[in-house]
Amino acid sequence: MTVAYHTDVSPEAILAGMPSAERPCKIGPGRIPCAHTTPGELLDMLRQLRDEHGFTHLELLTAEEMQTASDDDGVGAEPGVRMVYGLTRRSDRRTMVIYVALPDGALEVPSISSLWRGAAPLEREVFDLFGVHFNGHPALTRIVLRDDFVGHPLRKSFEMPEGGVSAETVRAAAASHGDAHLRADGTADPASIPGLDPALLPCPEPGFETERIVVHMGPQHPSTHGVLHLWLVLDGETVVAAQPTQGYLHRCIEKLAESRDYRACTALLDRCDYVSGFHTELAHVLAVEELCGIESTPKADFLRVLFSELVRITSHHTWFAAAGLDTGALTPFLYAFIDRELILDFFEEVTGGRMMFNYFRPGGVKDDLPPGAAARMVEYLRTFDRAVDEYEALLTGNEIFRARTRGVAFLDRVTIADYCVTGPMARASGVDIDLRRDQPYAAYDRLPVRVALGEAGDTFERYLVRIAEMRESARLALAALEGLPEGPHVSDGVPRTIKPPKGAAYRAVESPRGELGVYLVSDGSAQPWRLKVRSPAMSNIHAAGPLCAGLRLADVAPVVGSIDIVMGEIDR
Amino acid sequence: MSPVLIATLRVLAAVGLMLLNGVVLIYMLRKVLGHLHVRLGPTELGPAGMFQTLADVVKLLTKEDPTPGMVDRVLYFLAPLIVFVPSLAAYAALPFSSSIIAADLDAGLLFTFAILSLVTLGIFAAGWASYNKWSLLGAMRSIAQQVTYEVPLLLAALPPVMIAGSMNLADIVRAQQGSVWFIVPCFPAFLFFLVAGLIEANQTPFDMSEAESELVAGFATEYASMKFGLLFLSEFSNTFVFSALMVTLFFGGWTLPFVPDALLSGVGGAVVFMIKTYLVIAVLMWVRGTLPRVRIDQLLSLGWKVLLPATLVWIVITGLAVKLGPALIGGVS
Repeated sequence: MTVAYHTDVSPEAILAGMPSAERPCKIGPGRIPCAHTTPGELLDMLRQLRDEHGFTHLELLTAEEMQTASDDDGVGAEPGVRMVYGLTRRSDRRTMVIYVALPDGALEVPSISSLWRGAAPLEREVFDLFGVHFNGHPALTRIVLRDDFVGHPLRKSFEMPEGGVSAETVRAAAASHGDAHLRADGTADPASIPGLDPALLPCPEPGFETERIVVHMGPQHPSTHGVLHLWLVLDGETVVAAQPTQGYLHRCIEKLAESRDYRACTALLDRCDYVSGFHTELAHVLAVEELCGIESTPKADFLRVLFSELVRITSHHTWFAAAGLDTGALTPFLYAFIDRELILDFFEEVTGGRMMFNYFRPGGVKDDLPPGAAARMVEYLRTFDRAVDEYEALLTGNEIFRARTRGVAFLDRVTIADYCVTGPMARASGVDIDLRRDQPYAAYDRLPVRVALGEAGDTFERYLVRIAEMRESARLALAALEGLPEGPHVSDGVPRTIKPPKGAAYRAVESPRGELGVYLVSDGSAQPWRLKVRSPAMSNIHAAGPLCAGLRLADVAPVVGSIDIVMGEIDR
Repeated sequence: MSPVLIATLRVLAAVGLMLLNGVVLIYMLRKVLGHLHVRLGPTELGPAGMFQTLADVVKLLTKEDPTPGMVDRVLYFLAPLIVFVPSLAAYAALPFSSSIIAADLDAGLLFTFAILSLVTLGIFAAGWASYNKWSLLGAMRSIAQQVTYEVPLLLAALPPVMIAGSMNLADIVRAQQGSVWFIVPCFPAFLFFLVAGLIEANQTPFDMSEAESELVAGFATEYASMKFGLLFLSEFSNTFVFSALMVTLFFGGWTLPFVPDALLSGVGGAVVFMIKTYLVIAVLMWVRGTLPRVRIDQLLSLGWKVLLPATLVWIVITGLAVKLGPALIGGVS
């Protein structure tokens, strides 16, 4: 795919020149160009955009309920669902959105998993929550809700049965559905694993009867980082295939958001990525600000950077702790958690919470720093490098750790584009992307952002990149503290109840796991019409399949650990 | 006293020692690991949390003992015993001091190795009977490990035997009495023995068969209550036996340099022996608090490709030195 991209052609011009792109428009206050197309032309159009115009990154794949009242941004009047495809061109970081309107009764669209394999789980989510059928999808099953769930809850017409789902309904659905994964003798039937190639299953060993073992790694397993579930097909100790499944921590955050006002959504989103809550908060707050045209204050911008970076450090602390545990070393865990505790104390002092902050607000932040806090943070951050040196002394030079991670699970650029991988995972393979530098938000345009970049793309490189990021984050946080301007921490005139005008906005931030975006649609009321979180870890974890194939069983935990997942953010 | 009574008393003493030892070792592990982790370990029950392990023993004893539905009931019940009894029997030949040996066997070293290798049988039985794939994988690993490491372990123990000219453990200690400990002439053998022994005792960085970040709890996954307690206890006991063997073979057993042998022939020697053994165990715990775990294929290739040839070469060198050394030094053989 070495096509010379005409990066000087703007997305608007590209869309204008495409016959299949109808009704070009903009979402947000003129930020993102968009166009509509039909299901029949979708696949060709996306392929053309990807291969000829360099829009290789599938940033967003979701759906929203059609707003029935027709209005100027081209929203159709027919009741139904509208598919949303967000594409990004890496070379100049321009984004465009393609809409496909699907009226009720014809909720069908071709699957684009042939273009991006990472689209398959995202399409399953849309199928699960909206009931859109994807033609040609490899395994279209529910992904976050239970298999016997009835209905598609993100449709506005969805109503829970009176008093919730009755036991009879569930039993009846289960009886008609059966447990597809089990054979008659109660053992797992590998042929029914969604998305797994059945050709892998028989063991090609003529004259000697052997069987491949199928094991469930998780959701109850010591090293699945929460409730990840992996189907592993094993040939002895060798992993033949790995297929992640998710949904054990689905808390309906996107559905709940539709019944809360914009400010209250911030508190919900803290619970989304609970290891680095500030980032989900920030993406949401930026999207709300963009929809309403609210400006935050310079001081708030710096405070947002400060807390984003501090929470990145604590998130990487958690990852580092797990990196040790996954390879069987317990001590790094405690080392990292001692330091994490110190930063959590700062969070508690400023925001009142250690995990659930609810601190960023449209227009600024909730509170100013209490007296003396800045000085103490500076003092801590100045000694931070020494703490990282200690972590490195435990693992980086350790022969066993190196033997376990070096050359294990290479992630190449093709797979990265295919699975829409972002964040340190992509940077460790030399893909130079970082929203803090490429698409600066908050005060990142006023601070020297240095991107930690790797090359090899193996588990050890991912480790090194994150370690370097910890040091970088401390440096950035220090710079933000030292450059902290005077002035108010929140802008005046933000209304008590925020009612953005009709429209949509998409804002992404660089979370510790990658590009975390919030796609927000307003219908003019006080509650969001649709709030979608683009989960970087969800895209990243589905790359675990190709990463783990061919490895040893013992490698699975460190490799999954090097993806650095947070199930709360994946399942939402 | 009749010989039967004496034998019974000896067995009871060994059981008592093993249980007490297990309790002490678990407490020690918690404290040592705790301080390595920059935390305190148990502090609440008794002085410095000393009785915490006793409380845990009571807890294990009084817990419900469920048997999973599809296990092989006979084997599932027997497996902890098959693991426990050999680790108990392995205490028999340990020379705590020249007068405190349960069974002063001429082939004591061979006996200890032979009886310890039975433990693997129990571990495999436990993994096979549990009807759990993680358990089975753990069991398979322990067999692979056993096959790989039994030989280098025994070979690494041979140089001291060759120098001492005996397989009797007490004789090996006596051979070090008044001369240097065998760690000095047999230092490479000591290293091989340490590595092979860590693997044999299923200790970090080689705790393959129950690697909890990979295999949940390996062969012990489906065990609860005192059945689990037995598996757990025998692991500590194996660590102790291995450390005691190391003290016997390389660190002069109950002897101390510059201390008259008469002082160390009875209980005094046993105290010295225990202290030395506990020091070795403390080092093992230090290793456990520092290192990650190697991968099973790396472990196996280390065994076959490095340890086995290296121990063989060292045996040849030791043999030549034992035969030719006196001739070279003294001029006469």
